[in-house]
Amino acid sequence: MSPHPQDASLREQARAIASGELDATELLEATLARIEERNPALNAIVDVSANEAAQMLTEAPEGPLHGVPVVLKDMYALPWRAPRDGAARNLYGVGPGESAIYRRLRDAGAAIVGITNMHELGMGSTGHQSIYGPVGTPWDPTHCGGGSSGGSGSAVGARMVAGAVGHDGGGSIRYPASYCGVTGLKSTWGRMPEAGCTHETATLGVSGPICRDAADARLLASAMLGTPLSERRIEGMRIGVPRRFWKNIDPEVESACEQALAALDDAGLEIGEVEIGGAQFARIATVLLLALDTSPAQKPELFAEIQPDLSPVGRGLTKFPMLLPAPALARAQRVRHGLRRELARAFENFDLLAWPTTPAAAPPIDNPTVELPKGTYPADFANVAMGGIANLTGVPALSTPCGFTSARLPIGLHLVGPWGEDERLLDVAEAFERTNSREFVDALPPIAQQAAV
Amino acid sequence: MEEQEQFQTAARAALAQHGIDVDDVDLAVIATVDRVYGPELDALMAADLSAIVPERAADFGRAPEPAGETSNQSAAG
Repeated sequence: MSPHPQDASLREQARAIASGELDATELLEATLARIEERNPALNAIVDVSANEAAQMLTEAPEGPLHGVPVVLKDMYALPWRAPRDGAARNLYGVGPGESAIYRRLRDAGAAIVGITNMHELGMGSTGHQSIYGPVGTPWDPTHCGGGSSGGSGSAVGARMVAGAVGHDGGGSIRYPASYCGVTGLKSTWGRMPEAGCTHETATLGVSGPICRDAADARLLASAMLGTPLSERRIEGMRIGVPRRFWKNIDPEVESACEQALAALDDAGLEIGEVEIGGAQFARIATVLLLALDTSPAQKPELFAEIQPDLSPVGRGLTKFPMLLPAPALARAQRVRHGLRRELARAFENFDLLAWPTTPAAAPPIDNPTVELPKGTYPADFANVAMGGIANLTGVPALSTPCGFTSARLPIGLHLVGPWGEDERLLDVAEAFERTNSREFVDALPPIAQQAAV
Repeated sequence: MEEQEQFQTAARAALAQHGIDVDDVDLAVIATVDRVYGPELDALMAADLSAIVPERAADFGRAPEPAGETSNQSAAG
């Protein structure tokens, strides 16, 4: 075990507790101390549940996460807390209770030690806007931790916990993973249990793990699914590269992702180019359908009630969907169906697809825009063009750390697989980690290089 | 300026139908979103999507059922 237990991986923690090498109560106490030490600079964890975690430990069954602390995004009902969606309260009337993800984690033996920050109502990819205040990346707390699951990415990246749950409706697990230098998996739509999640009726959104590396993501995803995700060989797999998603990319991001593909090529995978027809509409279709996706479940009285507590931007964004013309939404749905068929066609020739997770690294919190070759753009606008297609189509997608900018901000490689093949993405991500001797997943951000408590 | 006023008047009227009040900040945010995404929305509205046959009862957790002339290629740019 590492000197501080939170410097160990999720699976090492679980293994050490199972073998008796590590006491679960000591791990919880060390985790709470680590959160107290590192969280103030990042604002990743917005509610620490020390007593509830201790109670969960006393009742924890034997399971794959027995005694291991994890954190959850502010979207899941817990017996002691209603989710707030990064706002004064959630719009769906979800109160305290046992969400399905809570049950799965409890039944796996985990202890929920805190709730993580998220972009206000899930309406952003940066995490700079939240009722709790902005969340920073552990690589530079003045830069965005990502959104909307930014607190989960930041908490894992800073080694406060080794496992966090996120939710992804338009890239919201993968963008924070990329910004924070960790691994995030958006599962195949419908595979995770979503009852008790504020966005449980969403057709775009799905829960998933955010962890340091693919093996930990596999462990946490397996616990969330209630069934193990197996490992398979990846030699000979074919990676399709849709060049449309490589246009107007920050040169440092492009270079790191190209090098990642070259490393996978050297590792025995085949790389080839592929066209995805209609991909130029993925961004606008995602934005339009996100506006539509969860609104039927919203409570009108809560919508009015939370307006005074929303940010000015949040107030405008919650009203904008009501101005959208129905024909535009119908066209977005048609694009969605077309993209699903285009991906199905692409997966006849390729086992997975790859492109950068975000076109640029984490922008500053006080100016969440990104400089790209063709100009300066809001980070949200730039990001959703990369991640939205996986939500529109329902396929699994993963971000794995693959490099750093010259400012030492993390870069993520986006892997996209066929429906139901979440494992394949984890297999390839693990293979990629081996190609670089785990250089990127084991890299420590500055905040984690300080003396451990 | 006239166009901006027309936009604001239209937005206020449309939201009023939902019983929702808007202030100048709301309208500024809405106008910014419209400016950022407007060109792609216009392109979407102008695109020929007739070759895409919508799925019946799509299950987003599974691959789509095979279809005949359903390729999205006609929309590829």
